[in-house]
Amino acid sequence: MNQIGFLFAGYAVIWVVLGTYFVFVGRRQTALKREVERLERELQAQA
Amino acid sequence: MGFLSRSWAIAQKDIIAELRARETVFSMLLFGFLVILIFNFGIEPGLREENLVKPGVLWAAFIFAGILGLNRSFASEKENDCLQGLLLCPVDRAVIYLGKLLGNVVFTFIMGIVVFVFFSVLYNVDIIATFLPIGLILLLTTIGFSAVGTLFSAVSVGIKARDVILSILLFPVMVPVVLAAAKSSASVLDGGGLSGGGLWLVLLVVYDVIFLAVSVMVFDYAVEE
Amino acid sequence: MTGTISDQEQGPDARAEDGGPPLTSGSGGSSAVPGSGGAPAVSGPGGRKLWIDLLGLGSVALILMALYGALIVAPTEAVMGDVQRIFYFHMPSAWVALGPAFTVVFVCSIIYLAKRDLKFDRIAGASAEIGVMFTTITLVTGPLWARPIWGAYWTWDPRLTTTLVLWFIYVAYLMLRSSTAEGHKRARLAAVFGIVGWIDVPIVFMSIRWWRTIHPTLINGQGMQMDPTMQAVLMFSLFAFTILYVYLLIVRVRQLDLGSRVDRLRQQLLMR
Repeated sequence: MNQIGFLFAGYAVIWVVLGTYFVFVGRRQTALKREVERLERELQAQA
Repeated sequence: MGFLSRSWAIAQKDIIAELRARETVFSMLLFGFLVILIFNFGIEPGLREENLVKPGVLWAAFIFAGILGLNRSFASEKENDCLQGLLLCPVDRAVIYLGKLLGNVVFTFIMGIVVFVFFSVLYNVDIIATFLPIGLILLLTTIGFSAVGTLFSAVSVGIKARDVILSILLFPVMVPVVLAAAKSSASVLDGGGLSGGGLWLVLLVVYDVIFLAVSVMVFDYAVEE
Repeated sequence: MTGTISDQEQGPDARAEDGGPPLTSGSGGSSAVPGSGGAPAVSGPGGRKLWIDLLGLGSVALILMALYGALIVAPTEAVMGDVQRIFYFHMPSAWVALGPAFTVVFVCSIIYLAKRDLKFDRIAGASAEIGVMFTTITLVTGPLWARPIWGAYWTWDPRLTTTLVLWFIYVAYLMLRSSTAEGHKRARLAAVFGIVGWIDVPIVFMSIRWWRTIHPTLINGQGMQMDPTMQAVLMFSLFAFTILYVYLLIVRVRQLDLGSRVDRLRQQLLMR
């Protein structure tokens, strides 16, 4: 790998790691939102 | 009963229990010997470069065997619910910490001495000349290792994967200790005495003081119920 | 119901609004955001906190600008060539992890032990995650930089070696957290380790540096000549990374708060 190759690899890693974290947080967020809505619906139904 | 004598009472309890059962120290010793043996097979004996790896082998064996001992020290408390009993005593938590610490230091130091003897036989180290310097390094290392190790074993005692977690927590924090022990003993094992190793001893002392203080302060929180 | 929502109690009407990454949709309604720096209760479309989304967009923009700076604005380094450009992201990553991220873990551990408010435990956990992420970036970009220049991936350079130990310490912290169920016990144990671990870091650094100065280095690390433009780019990149850290921390903490609320709702449901 020439110099630019390593440079590209370095930046690629950064984007991949950051991107993975974003995806992880995003998916957890969706799951949580769904869960909150479901729970509140059930609580209301019981009330 | 004074502070220290209360701590010593706790340490005595551990030591007497161990003298009767003898399982912890023997396992530690055996494990230490085995580690040295295994390393030996990974390294050609009699190499010119052998001097470079000697300290590493000794201290790796010490650390691994030491962790084994730590694991068992709090384990027995948990098994028999002795920890509850200890915590019910109307004493400062620091007393309990110091007591466990003293017990661990005694066991680990004894293990260290015996492992070193075994090591010096296998690696042709002059025991008479090196005994005192190595003993000093061993003492300082044991104190640092046990100070943090006792705290962390209290932390990990309440966790399912207790043994593994203790190792994972302890090893990274031990880096300065292992480094200092290996570097200061390197010249000793080569027959050069403590020359140049003074700085590392200072590091060990600094480490010991800092982490003894921190552990005493923080131990309360580790064993709360 | 306003003010800091701690985990002692929470009324049924208080909603923890979330400001997740721009792709998720939110539910309606708005209320004061608990403990997030006193921002006004303005909702954007879909009920998300607008300022958080703006912060997110801003931090991404800053990072892109920093990238431009690193690749285009900064001059090529005299000795190392273009590969050196990774430094403008490598060093700020290291700094964000060691500086704000892990220090926040330390401080929040202490505050938690003092106040027993689980919010601080959540902040510590989120900050450790983000810190480990940036540390990983540092540890991967470092060798990728070292290899073309010095011929070896790993040179036992004191700073990078300390970063490696740092990585192990905070991964251990995260493993400790994941080995127990959420709650006060976990928070307490994690706080103990969070305090000891952070204090260890400077000692680790000093001991490794002694080690590496006493013994001949494997490879002679050549210093970098940094001219003013490069310094400016570096400073800007540091700023961009810090903002990114703050954004990620806020988002993740709010998510953990929401998760805690979910658990409470579940318990409420079970108790009826």
